[in-house]
Amino acid sequence: MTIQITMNEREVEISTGSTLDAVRTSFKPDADLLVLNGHVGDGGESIAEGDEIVLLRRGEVPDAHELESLLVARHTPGIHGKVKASRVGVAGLGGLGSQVAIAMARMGIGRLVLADFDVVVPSNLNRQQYFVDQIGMRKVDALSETLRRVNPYVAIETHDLKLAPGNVHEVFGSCDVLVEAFDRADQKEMLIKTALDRLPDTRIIAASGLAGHEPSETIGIHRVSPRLFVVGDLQTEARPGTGLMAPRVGVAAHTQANLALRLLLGEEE
Amino acid sequence: MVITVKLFGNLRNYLPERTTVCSAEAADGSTVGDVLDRFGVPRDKPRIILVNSYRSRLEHVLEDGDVVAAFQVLPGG
Repeated sequence: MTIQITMNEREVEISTGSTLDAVRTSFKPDADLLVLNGHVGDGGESIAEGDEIVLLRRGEVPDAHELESLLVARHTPGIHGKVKASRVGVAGLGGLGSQVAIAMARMGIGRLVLADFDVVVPSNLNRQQYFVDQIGMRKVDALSETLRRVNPYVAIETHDLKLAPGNVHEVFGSCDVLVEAFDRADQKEMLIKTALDRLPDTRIIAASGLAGHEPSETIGIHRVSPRLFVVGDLQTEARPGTGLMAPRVGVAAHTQANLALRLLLGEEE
Repeated sequence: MVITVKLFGNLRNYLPERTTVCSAEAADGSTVGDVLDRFGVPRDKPRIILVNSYRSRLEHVLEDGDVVAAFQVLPGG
């Protein structure tokens, strides 16, 4: 007699009456962390039909298939295929872009195209996803390092350059969605205009008005056209006396990221 | 001719009752700039302008039924 269980996100059959330790012996003898239905076990537990088991070796990096299975297990069912087949571009890797990129990597996006010409400086640390030991690194390198710690298998394409009308198509031409994540207004304007003109098949998610500490719900999504969306309150600019704060910038960044996901899934046509 | 005007964020302050969408009568040959002038929108504020979902500019000559959308790009990110 056998029962069916889930072991490291794969359906497997085991003998009735098996213990957690027996499952380890059969499937991953070197595992030193045994998780049964979300709780760490000692090996003596009896396994029942439908149980979910995760067997891990501490410090071991799962292979690509295993990690994907483990990550996808926490996603809403049915979305992974579309996400994995998608390409997202991020222009500017500051407060917005660094957080959008991390959200995309955690989702298992098919390909991330990242562009920034800058280096990490101490003032970035108030809202951007960098660390003290990364000060002085190129942002594309520092963020890639972090993203690979999240998911070593995500495909990342980096461009250490200053974006201009002449190179936007070359960098982002293959992207399904382009996230505008610049800080300066003139760069935002350049990118939005160029993308509208030169990337006819790419949806654009820009940001405008996210400084200060106004209520989170004032960060909205403005659908300017079927291809251009703007996230923010379109009122609160960064200026002396109104700074850029991690919480509200984070709300805007993750609103951009969630909108990107919805666009990739065809839910914001 | 009748033009639909959509202004977002702080530019809504120039539309009646701070709505987002408004219709405007305009003389033949009017440009985007002419229509925005009627609402008192300063010419340097709408940095991104679309007409019928395509990027446009203040000098663009409008046709009856056109939809003008505009917003200001603010620093911060």
